[in-house]
Order: sequence, then C-alpha cells, then structure tokens
Amino acid sequence: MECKTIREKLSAFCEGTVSPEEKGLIGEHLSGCPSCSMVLRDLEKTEVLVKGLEQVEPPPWLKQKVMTRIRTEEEAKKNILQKLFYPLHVKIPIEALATVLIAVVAIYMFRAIEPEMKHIQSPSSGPAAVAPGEKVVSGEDLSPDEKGGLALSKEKTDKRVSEEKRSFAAQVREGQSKAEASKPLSKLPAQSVPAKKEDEALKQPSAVAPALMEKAIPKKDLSLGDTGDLARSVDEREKGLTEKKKSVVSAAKERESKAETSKPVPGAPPSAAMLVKKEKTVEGKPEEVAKAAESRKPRLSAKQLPAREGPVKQEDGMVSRSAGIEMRQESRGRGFVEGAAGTAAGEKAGLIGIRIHVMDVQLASEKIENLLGQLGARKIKRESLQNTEVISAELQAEKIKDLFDKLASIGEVKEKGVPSDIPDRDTGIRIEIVHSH
Amino acid sequence: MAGDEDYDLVCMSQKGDVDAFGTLVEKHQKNMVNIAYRMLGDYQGACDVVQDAFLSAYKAIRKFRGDAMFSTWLCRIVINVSKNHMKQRRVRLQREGPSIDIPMETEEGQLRSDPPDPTPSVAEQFEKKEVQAKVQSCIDSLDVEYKEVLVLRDIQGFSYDEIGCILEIPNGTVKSRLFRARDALKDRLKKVFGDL
Repeated sequence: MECKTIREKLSAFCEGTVSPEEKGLIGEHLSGCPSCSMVLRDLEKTEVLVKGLEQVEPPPWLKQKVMTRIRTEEEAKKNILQKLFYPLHVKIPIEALATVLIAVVAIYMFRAIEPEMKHIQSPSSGPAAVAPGEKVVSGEDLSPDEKGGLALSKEKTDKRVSEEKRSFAAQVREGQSKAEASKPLSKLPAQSVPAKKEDEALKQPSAVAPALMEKAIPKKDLSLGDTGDLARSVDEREKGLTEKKKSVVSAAKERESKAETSKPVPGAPPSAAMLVKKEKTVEGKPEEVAKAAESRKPRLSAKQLPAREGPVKQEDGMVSRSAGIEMRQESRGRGFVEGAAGTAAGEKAGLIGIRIHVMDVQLASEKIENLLGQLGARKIKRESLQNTEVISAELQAEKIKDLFDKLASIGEVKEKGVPSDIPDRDTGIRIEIVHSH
Repeated sequence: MAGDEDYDLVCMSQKGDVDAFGTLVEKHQKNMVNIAYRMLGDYQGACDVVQDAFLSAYKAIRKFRGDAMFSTWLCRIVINVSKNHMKQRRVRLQREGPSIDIPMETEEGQLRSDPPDPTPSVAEQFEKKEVQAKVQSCIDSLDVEYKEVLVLRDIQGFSYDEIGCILEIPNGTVKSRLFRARDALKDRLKKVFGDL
C-alpha cells in the first residue's frame, strides 16, 4: 500500500474501526515507513489535545433566564389566545352562541326602534294634509320631515292624521270665532299664496297644506270645489299612504291636468303645491267649481261616511264648517238673512229659529204658511199657542234667503236660534209669529 | 422514544408543563453550552445561542415525535442556532469591521479574546489554559462542516449514528468528514505548537 492510501486510513486505524486485514497491512507499512509513523503519532497527539479540552460550565443564571423567557412567551400566548378560545370545546360554542344572540337582539332592536326613529325624524309641525292622496315611494327627493311622516306605519299614520285633524278643527273653530269678531282673516289678500312659493310648497308639502287651507278660508271665491279638494286630500291621507315625492309630483300632475280641463295652463310646471294652483283655477271658473262641489257633496257629508272612518268624518265635517265660514265671510255685508242662513246649517238638531213680530198674528201666519208653500217647503206644521203661532217646516237651503226677504215685508224678523252649521239640503225652520206691542 | 430517559419529561412538556421542561433544561444545559462554545469559540455567544435553542425547543416540543432521542433533537437545534449565529456574526463583521469582543482571525487561526473559564490559576494551570485556548482557536479555524463533526464526535462523544441523525447526513459522510477534520486540525496544531 502506498503512503497516501495508508494516511487516509490512519484516522480510522487510530479509532480501531478498520478491518483486521487493513489493520495488518497498515501495521506492516508503518513499521517500514518513518514518515507515516510520524503522521500517526501527530494524529494521536491531536486526539489527546482535543479530548483533553475541559468542559465549560454553564452560567448559573442560564436556566432561570431560559425559563423566564419561556414563561413570558407562555403568558403572552395565554393572554391572546387562551383567554379567548381555550378550552376550545367550551369557549367556541359559547362564543358562537353569544354571537348569534347578539345578532338576533340587534335585529330585534333595530326593528323595534325603526318606526320610532322615523317618527323622531318626522316633522314636528307637519300636519301633512297634502300628501295623502299621492303615493310616495322613495325618500330621496323628499325632505326629512316628509320622509319620516310618510314612512310611518299605517297605524301611526292614522293616529297622527286624526290628531292633526282634531287640532286643525280646533284651529278652524278658533279662526271662525276670530273672523266673526274682527274679521282678521278677511284682511288677508286673496292671493295670499303667491305662485312663486310653489317650490317651497314642493319641498314641504305636508307643512304647506294646512297653511293653504287656513289661508284659503277667507278667500272670497273659494268655494266647495277647494274644500272638496282638501277633503279628498285628507281622505287620501287617512288611507295611510306612505309614499314619496315622485308620486306626489305625479299625482299633482294628475290633479293639475284635471284642473286644466277646466282652465288649461300651458307650460305650467308640475308642482306638488297644487292647492295654490287649484285656487287660481277655481277662481277663474266658479261655475265649474260649483259643479265640482256638487259632485263631491257626498264626501262633505259627514253623516254619509261609515262610522269606522272617524277621523275622516271629522275632517269632512271640519271642511264643511270651513265652507260655512266662507259663506258667512262672503255674505257678511248682505244682512242678517244671509248670515242666518250661513250659520243655520249642519247638525240635525239645529233648526233655524225665527221670531217675527206682527200686528195681526193670524193673518201673518196664513201669509207665512202660503209663503212657505210657494217656496216649496215641506212638512209645514202650524201650532197655535197662547198669543203665538208656530210654523215649522223644512225648506231648501237656497230658498232660506228668499224666505227671510219676504218675512221682512210681513213683520219684524228676529233671530231666535241659529245652529252653527249649514247643510246644503232641506233645513228645518221654526217660525214663531208673535204679536207686536 | 420509549427508550429515551427524557421520555416522561418530554411528554409532560408537550402537555404544557413548564416545570418539566425546566428539568430538561437543567439536565442538558451543560452539554449544549459546551457544544455551542466549541462551535463558536465565544462563551457569551454560546450562552445566547443555548437560550435561543431552548426557547425554540420549547415552542416546537409538540412537534417532537420521538423518532430520535431528545438530546439528539436538542443538539440539532443548538448546532443550527450556532450556525445561524456564526453567519450573523460574519455579516456583522463585514458591515461594521472587527470588534474587540470577537475573536481575531490570524495566520495561525482565530485567537481567543475571552477565556472560557477564568479560574484562579497558578503557572501550570495558566499554561494548560493557554494550550486549550490554542486548540480552541485551531478548532475555530476549521470549516463548519469539519468543526461540527469534530465537536460532536471527539469532544461530545456522540456515535456516528447519532451524529448522522443530528446533522442529517449519512454515516459514511460523517466518517470521511471526521477524518478530514482531524487531519486538518493536526496540521493547524502543528503550525501553532510547532512539534506536537
């Protein structure tokens, strides 16, 4: 064997990991080769030096430091994960259940609060008599007030409408009494709602409508056509419609087109404040307004409405009263007869009570009886009391004026009892004929 | 793993028993520090390496399947962390220049800057220490692949199988590397000491 091959195996020879054959061959070579023997000796000395290296001791703090680091890591892990999830078989179901519970409660609360929230957003002063008939679909174009008001549930809407109607009725009565006292309303200009306010009205139709109604009351030429519109609006409102301005506008267009059939307004922009427009249109065509009033009479009759539609009935009655007020206003200067006629309407129990002072009771009674017959009165009854003749009858409302005119020629007429409302059908009349002293 | 004397402690550690792992640390820390020290030639660095190695071992202990002895598995971690430490030190040296805390590279190999065990010495002990320092400097100058087999076989006394397992290399490779490592170390020692 050559020295190179022998030197490669010297390390294994030192360890004793060579085969016995190789061991013999290497031994033979080493005995005859001093250089290879020197290498073997150096290898053995190297091994002695390496194995003689002393072991170093670990620092006493090493274990403590290692364990501190481990515990810190463990704590951090526990803080983040274990507190949340461990033990998995207990905490994960609980957490899942809690999540579902929270979701359910959130949905329930949202649904419970939703109408209240919308109610809060709804207008504080928005009686919203306009919107009723129109169908509102989306809130994008609507004012927040309108959105809230229209989005109410039917029940709430009904409640609100009835409240509004009651308050409005009170306002009307108040206005009526004021009008009688000092005529403040009649001082308002006929064009109290200028057309340029249409945009404002469009923005807040709910707020505008009652104002329009109030302002419309003293108008000279505003007749039952307008009140019929209002009544219809209220009626439609009562249906609890929750819709949007688009539909408001479209419905307004519809009404506008209706108005245009009587008086076309070419190029007029569509507007939700149709009451204003309607007023103008009606003013121009009183005869059509009268027709419209005739066609809407049933709506104005509170008695003809079903009992369950309480708010509507009230509203209709209210409107009728407003019509009465108008009549009273416009006939204020025409004397007592018209005034009496204007106020002697409405309730069934309300009769027009008239006392007439004459020189000859019997003669006057006959004349009056004949007069009533000429005017087409029905159910004429005559009763004789002590020094007094009482004639009761039913007479058409429009003939009452004539009756009073003619009664004035017979004797001195004095009002005895006047009901607060005027029906536009047969009215009961009670005439007391007394002797004048 | 059934024949491993650390079996019970390892199982307890796997269940999260930190104290059991502490016992393992206490048991193996000396060997691990010595392996790291012989690999790095730096006592403080060796202590840092051993800390990191034990922390890594604790984090990964649930993945320990018992295919090898725990000590073998732990040695592999220490060797790997030591190699990483050496790489980082080399990169740091290239960037920042040599530090007084790091062993200097000389013609004769690396010189110790930090005696490992500065016990009170008399003249003989001082001489012995100096010899050991020179031997360590010669070991430090070896390639890593020679160094690791030399440390594991001639200093720590692992078998060829265990070394093959720790380093994940075949037994034949372990032997050939070891013989070359010894030969290289012999040449370095002859240079340092003159005539052995």
